[in-house]
Amino acid sequence: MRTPFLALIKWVFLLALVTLSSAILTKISGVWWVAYPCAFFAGMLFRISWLGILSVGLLSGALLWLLPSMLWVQSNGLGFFIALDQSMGLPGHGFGFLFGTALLGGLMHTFGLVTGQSLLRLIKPKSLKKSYGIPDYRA
Amino acid sequence: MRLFRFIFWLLVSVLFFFVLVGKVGPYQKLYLWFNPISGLSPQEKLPDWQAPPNQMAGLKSSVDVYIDSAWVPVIYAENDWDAYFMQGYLSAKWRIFQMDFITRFAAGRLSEIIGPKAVDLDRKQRFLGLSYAAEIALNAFEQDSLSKLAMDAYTAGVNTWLSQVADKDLPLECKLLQYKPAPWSNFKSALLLKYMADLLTGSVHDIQVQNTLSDFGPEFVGQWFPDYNPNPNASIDPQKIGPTSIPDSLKAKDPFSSYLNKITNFEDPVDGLGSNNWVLDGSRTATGKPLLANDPHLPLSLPSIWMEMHLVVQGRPVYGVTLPGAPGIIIGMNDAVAWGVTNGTVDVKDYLAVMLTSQHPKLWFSGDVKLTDRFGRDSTIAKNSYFSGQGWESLSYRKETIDIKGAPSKSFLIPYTKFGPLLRETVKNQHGENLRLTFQWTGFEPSNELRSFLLLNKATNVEECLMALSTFKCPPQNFVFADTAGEIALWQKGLFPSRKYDVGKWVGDARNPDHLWQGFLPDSISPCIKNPERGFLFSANQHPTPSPYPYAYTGFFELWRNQRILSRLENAKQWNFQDMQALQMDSYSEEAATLLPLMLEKLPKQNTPMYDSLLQWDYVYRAPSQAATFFHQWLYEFEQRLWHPLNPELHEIPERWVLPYILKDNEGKYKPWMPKDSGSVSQWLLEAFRFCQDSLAQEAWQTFKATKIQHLARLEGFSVKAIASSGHHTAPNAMTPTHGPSWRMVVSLKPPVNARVSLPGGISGNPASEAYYQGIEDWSHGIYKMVIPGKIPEHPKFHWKCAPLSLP
Repeated sequence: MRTPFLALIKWVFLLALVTLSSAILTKISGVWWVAYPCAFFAGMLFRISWLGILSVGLLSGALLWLLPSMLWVQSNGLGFFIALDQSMGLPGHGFGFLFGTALLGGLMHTFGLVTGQSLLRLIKPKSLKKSYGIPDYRA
Repeated sequence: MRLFRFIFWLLVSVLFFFVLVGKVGPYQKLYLWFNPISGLSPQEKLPDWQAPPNQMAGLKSSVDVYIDSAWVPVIYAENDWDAYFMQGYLSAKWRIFQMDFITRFAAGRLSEIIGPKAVDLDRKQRFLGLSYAAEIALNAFEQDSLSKLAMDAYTAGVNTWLSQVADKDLPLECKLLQYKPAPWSNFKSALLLKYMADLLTGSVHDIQVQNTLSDFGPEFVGQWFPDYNPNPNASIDPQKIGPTSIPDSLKAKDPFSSYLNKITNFEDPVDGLGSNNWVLDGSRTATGKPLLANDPHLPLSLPSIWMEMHLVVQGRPVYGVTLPGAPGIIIGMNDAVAWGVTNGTVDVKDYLAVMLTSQHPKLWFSGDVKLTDRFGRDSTIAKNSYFSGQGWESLSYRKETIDIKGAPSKSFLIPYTKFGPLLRETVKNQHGENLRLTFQWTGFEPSNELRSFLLLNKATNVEECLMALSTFKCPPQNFVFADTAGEIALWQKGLFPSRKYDVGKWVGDARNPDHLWQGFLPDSISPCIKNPERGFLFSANQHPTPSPYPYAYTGFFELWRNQRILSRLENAKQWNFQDMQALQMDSYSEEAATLLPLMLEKLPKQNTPMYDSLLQWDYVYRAPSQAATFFHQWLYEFEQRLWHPLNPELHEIPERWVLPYILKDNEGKYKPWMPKDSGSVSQWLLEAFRFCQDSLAQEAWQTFKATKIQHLARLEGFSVKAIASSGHHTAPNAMTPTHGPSWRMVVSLKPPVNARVSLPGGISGNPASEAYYQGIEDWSHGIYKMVIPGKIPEHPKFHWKCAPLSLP
């Protein structure tokens, strides 16, 4: 049942799972890299397209890592980040640091998911017959 | 293929983590900056306002802390220990980076957190000997029970906070530099006070005058650098002090004997340091009780060099500002007295040239030998000795190790003469001899300035204030006092070297006994005055005493501000807060009022709008004034031409009080003393005027001056640039691009004591906090807030209660 709807469900589920599990475990443990194993195991749950993995990883990572900054900007404006960019010599006029944060968070989640997905595809290859009607002689 | 793909992504992940935790180009451990838990992004709830634990080991009784509506902490304690403990705790909470950074700078230990870039600066600082001075001071502090208790409690408070703080709550700067501040110690408090002493006394002009002496000769220096300007408006009447003739014993036989070839490798003295304080007795105020004002002019920084603090111990309050890192209040008031300080600007640091055995042309031997020196004395000379006024003496050595972040440590020895550290540079004298420079500084003498401040905090009248200063030695300060009984006093207090006349203005010769300090002047003759008939006392870094004064002293004394303050105070009648504040904010320049008419007189009439503006200018350095900018530049350019070929980077330029004499001189009386033969004053004025007219932008004074409050670690984003403000260093409102009134305070001694104060910068050192930039806007516009020592804040922002840790 390869429908766009199912793909969307899987995508939303994975996004919620990775984001929430990472946020909860990060909050509980206080360890910044705990999101990587979260993403890794989430990536092993089911097959999803590489594009789906990439978008979930970047989005959830950026969301999670940017959350404190976004809450701050909402209450206090962008001034602090403009000053921070100036002080660190970053381009972006307030968005340099935020972009760096989003990128690193996104990459960490993406690499976790991609590695997990690769392991899934290694240990549980997709049936060729199911996919293409070709007998799977490996079985 | 699938295996390869998995291994590939695994390796990419590992590499990614290496990038985050390792080094990439100049950056390392990026995760420390960007991670969402303890990175640079501020958390929604700032650590600044998180309450301390309800129970804390180290407290002896319960303490109440209120954060008042202006974010100033009010600490109610039942004993001194708890007050200083909580002061240390809160200072660390809001200013630990400042405390750590400044003491590292003073000790020459910035390389530990910055890396190899700071090694040269650290090495230079080590040669200043501030750690050596702090060790001597700490010894004196710890012998005094009052000082020791305050320091121990303060240190315990700071270290308690350090033991509690999570990495995520460390200051932004610590996160940027990726380090955690080291534990505090009493030594660091002593070091901080020595840093301030060096800031206020260490920047001397000896080497520039020495270069002027070398290049232009003693007659030139004698003419343009006399001991006194003719109109010093001294703060003290000399009749109160003693004899007015110069004893023969104080005349140096050969003050110029040592002069050296030009010294090019030295740091320019810092200009812009100064202060105002004055006090009116009841006869000149509306309330019939004294009014006291103080505004110390120091480097403007964020966080501020000062920290506002309000302590109440057993019901007795003390309010004012302190240096983060020092217990107690430095400038302020309690319920009975108020005090303020200005820098004495007396020269208490003298450079000396010494000859070492290793550099003596005939002393390349490796053992001891007897030699007759040039003064006819027999000496036994050891290797690594130097010649002082009393003969050959051995150098002592202090091992210094600079630990460098990311690089191997560097160790070296600093030789010490009995005067102070031996500097690295070799200089030649006119006989071709190689000499080395050392310096003597009163900061190396045992003293206890902390005790003075702690006693001032508790004083109940002016007499107790004066007694509190008995151990105060360095930096020399002009203290003014007032009490609720109506008494006022001024004392220029410090340790003053006893010198022969003309000694100390340039580099002395350590071999000549006349060039050495002859001891120290006793306190009994230092300038002090109480309840003067004229009803006011003031100091603005001018000469403390008029000429002639029987004891030789030298320094760098202010010329113009004091004249303006004096003229206003002489006419003070029924003054109130507004009058005092208006004088602090007064931007009228006596320099401009004196020099501009004379300059315009010598200048042929010009048909330019700027010439007309200058004719109409009222000598007030107002923020929008273009005439002020033009005059400031014109005077500077004129001076350049007048004194050429004196080079301001190498030579001492004569002070501006000589300019009226030169501008009024129509007979060429001063011509023989000018550094060049050709040209005339009128010609240089015209040249300078045309240069300014043609080449420089006609800017408003505030734009040209561009006062900036710079972040302590020079982080541009967290500095405040181009503050719209009036003022000039020759006006009471002594605002410069980098320095200015770092604290404005006016205190009424009519009970209950109350004050109007203004501080550029808030209590917090956290740039994300609302209490970081706080106060700057009001300060720049001369808006003050009212404070009443001892009053419980009516609408506190926070109220924290802390009790001693009860054992289970």
